[in-house]
Formats: sequence, structure tokens, C-alpha cells
Amino acid sequence: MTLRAHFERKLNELRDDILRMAHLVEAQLQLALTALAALDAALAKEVVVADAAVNKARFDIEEKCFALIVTQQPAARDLRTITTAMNVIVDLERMGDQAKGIAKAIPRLVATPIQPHPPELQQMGELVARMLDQVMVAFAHNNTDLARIIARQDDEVDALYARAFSHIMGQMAAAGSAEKAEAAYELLRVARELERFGDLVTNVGERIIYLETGTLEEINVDTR
Amino acid sequence: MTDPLIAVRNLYLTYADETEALRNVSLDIHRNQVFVLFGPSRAGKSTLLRLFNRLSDLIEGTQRRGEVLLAGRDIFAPEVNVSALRRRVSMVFAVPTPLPGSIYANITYGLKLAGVRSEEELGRRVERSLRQAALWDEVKDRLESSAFALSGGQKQRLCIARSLALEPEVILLDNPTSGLDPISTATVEESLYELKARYTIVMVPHSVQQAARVADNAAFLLDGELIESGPAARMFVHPQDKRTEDYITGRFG
Ligand SMILES: Nc1ncnc2c1ncn2[C@@H]1O[C@H](COP(=O)(O)OP(=O)(O)O)[C@@H](O)[C@H]1O
Ligand SMILES: [Mg+2]
Repeated sequence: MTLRAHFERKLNELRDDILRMAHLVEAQLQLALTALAALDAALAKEVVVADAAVNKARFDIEEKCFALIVTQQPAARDLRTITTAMNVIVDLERMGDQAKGIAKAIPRLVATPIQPHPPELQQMGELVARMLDQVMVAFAHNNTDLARIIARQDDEVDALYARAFSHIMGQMAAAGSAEKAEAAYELLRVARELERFGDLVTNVGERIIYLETGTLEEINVDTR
Repeated sequence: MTDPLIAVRNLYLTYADETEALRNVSLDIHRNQVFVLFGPSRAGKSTLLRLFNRLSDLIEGTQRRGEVLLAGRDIFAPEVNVSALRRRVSMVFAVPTPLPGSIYANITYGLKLAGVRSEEELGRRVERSLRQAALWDEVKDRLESSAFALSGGQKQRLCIARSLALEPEVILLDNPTSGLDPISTATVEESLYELKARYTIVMVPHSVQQAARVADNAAFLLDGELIESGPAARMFVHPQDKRTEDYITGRFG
């Protein structure tokens, strides 16, 4: 094998590591959403604990990136590939934090149930999970068109968030007690975590475009 | 982990003028890897490299303590045949030193000294060693032309091929790309990468950057002492000793 082939194999390994990390994050999100729908505090606890694995994946991949930078001394596209990887893993780790944030809201919602949960929460959850899935396909295949489509879906996440927001504000206003109001506030936090999750997926899409074109474009300018 | 191919144990070397070039150096070099000895000048890198095939014997008045084991055997033991050792552990110098004569003759010279007579065998060894040194494709149509007509990088790969023809186990390289332009340097580095599948390579690099590019494992030497050694991916990202860190980041040397 030539040096170049060796380097390319390392880059492929790096991409596979990132795809595995993304799967982990997606599983965390799905578990957090399941725990939310079922008001399952034990499952929520598991999500919180498992976040350590996401963090570890990020640091392991980061180490590999450092090693590649010093030993391969990459330039041009090779360098962009590695800096993209380093940015993507930070975004993925934060998505993991968002899933953990959802899980952390659950004990209070178990103690003081608010019924019904705004349907937009599960809708947002499904949408951002699908976006993450797609952005990883775009990442695996350097597909900038797909990356741009994902950014447009983020507008939908924002619209759902706006609806969830007014719904929950209504629930807070109608809350008969401080406990109820605080529990409704936890729902608002969940909505906020999901909205952030969508932003982070969009960031990853921007990184994919940067890798391909060498320019950093904001593919979803926040107009609110 | 398998036994090291070369094991250095508490090695000291003092030159006739009392320069302590190596002080209590211990390290292990494993098979089929590029092991890099790096550090500022006068650290003792060349001294250590020359010990591995006893080229150091040629320098009068040196005093040595400690051991160098090759495949578990002390290379300084009285029964060791030094020319056989130098065939197993072969040195390629900084300045490419082709011999007068053709490319072909450059490679067969050492083989003939070693007793290889058959033209057929000589021809096979020439091709194989040129291929291994990643030079074959560039010179196969002009094996009879003068070695001096080659570019710097080609000359250096020819010298590597000359060593390979004798089928050594270990190749020692002291700053093999010192006078080369970046492209020739890259071709030599590329050939090293290919060679480690068959050989063990111990090399003094021309820069920290080259050390990081080519090394599987590396040892940092400073003023005759081994400061630290380990896998390159760790050494050049998280050096353990502050002196290594300072040298790698260009704070001295
Ligand atoms: N033949 C020699 N006689 C006396 N001193 C020497 C000889 N070769 C090297 N030295 C001294 O030994 C020390 C280590 O030198 P060397 O092994 O060449 O270091 P490096 O290769 O790291 O630059 C230096 O102080 C150098 O001056
Ligand atoms: Mg030297």
C-alpha cells in the first residue's frame, strides 16, 4: 500500500467512526423521546448515564484527528476533511447533550404530569431524528444537495417550535399551581432542546458544503 | 508484544576526547516499523545509529558500556562476525554516495563482494532491490547509464537499493533526505513506507516534521540522554516531557 492509500484508509476510518458516533446520538434521542412519551424515569436515567459514551466517542475521534494532522500534515481538501470531522463531532456531542437535556426534564414531568403534551414535541423529535439520519448520508457521500435540503427542513422544526411554544405558554398560564407551572416549563425546555438539535444538524450540513466548496455558507439564516 | 529486534540496554558511549555522547540509553526497536531517532544536533543520534552495526568500531579510543542486542544476541560479543553483522544491519548515509559506473554496477558491486557470481542471480537481485526502493520504473530502461546522471532523490534511492540487494534485516538511515528538494524527499519517504513491510528501518530525520510523517515509533534524544520514546501518534501530539514538547514546538534546537 502506498502512503496515500494508507492516508485514505485512515480518512475512511475517521468517517466510519463519525457515522458510528452519529448512530449513538440518534439512539440517545430516540430513547429520550420514548422516555418522554411513556413518562419513564428509569429509561430517562439511562439516557443521562449513556451520554458519557457520546462524550468519549468525541474525544477518541478528536485524538485520531490530532494524530492525523501531525503525522500526515494534510493540506487543502485533506485538511478540510479533518477540520470538518473535528467540527462535526463537536456538533454531534452537543446533540447528545440535547438528548440528555430532554431526559433530564422527565423526572419532574413524571412527578407532576402535564396532559396532554403538545403533539409538536414528538413531531419535532421525529423530524430532527430524520434530519440527523439524512445529514449523515450527506456526510458519507459528500452530498451538498442533500445538505441544503436538510437546512430547509429546519424551517419546519422552527415552525413546530413556535406552535409548541404558544401551546405550552397556554398551559403555563392555565396552571393552577407553582408545581404545574414548573412542570410546563420543563416541557418548554424540551421543545427548546429539540429546536437546538435541528440547528446543530444544520451546522453539520454547512460543514459538508464547506468541505466540498471551500466556502462557509450559512444555509439557513435565522430570520426570527 | 513480540521481542524487540534491537534492544538497547543502559548504553553509554564516550569518545576519546571524553565527550559523553550517550548516557544510559535504553530502548526497544520492533520489526517492520520505522523507528526515528530525533533531537537537536550533537544529541548523539548518529553515534547511536553507528553502534547498531558497529561502524562505531572504526572510531579510535571510544569507551562503551551497556548492551545492544540484535534478535536477543549481544552484537559486541567476541564471537560476532562484524561483516556479517553489517550485512544484516546496513547503513545508508546522508549524502547519496553512488559509485562510479552504471546503475547496474552500483548494485552488483556489493553482491559480487559477497560472493554472488551468477549473472542471472545478479540481474534478479538488481531488479528486486530497485523495485523495493521504488526506483525500478524510473531506471529500468537505462540500467547501463551512469549513476551520476540520476537526480538527488534517485541517487538516494539507488543507495537504498544497494543496501537492499544484500538482503539486510535492518536499514539504518542517517538523515537520508538532507540535500533533497521536497519532491525527492517525498519519494524517499514513500519508499521507506513501502520498505517497512519487509525490513526494519531506523532513521535520523532531517526535521521534526519528517519525524512525525515517517515514524511509527520515535525516541527523543538530548545531550546524549534518551528523554522519551513511544508511538509517533502519541509523541507528537502529547509528548510526556517538557523538553520534548519544547523541542517539537521549536522552542529550542
Ligand atoms: N568521532 C567523534 N569524535 C569525538 N566526538 C564525536 C565524534 N562524533 C561525534 N562526537 C561528539 O559526540 C556528540 C554526539 O554527536 P552525534 O552522535 O554526531 O550527534 P547528532 O547525530 O545527534 O548530531 C557531539 O558532542 C559530537 O561532537
Ligand atoms: Mg548526526
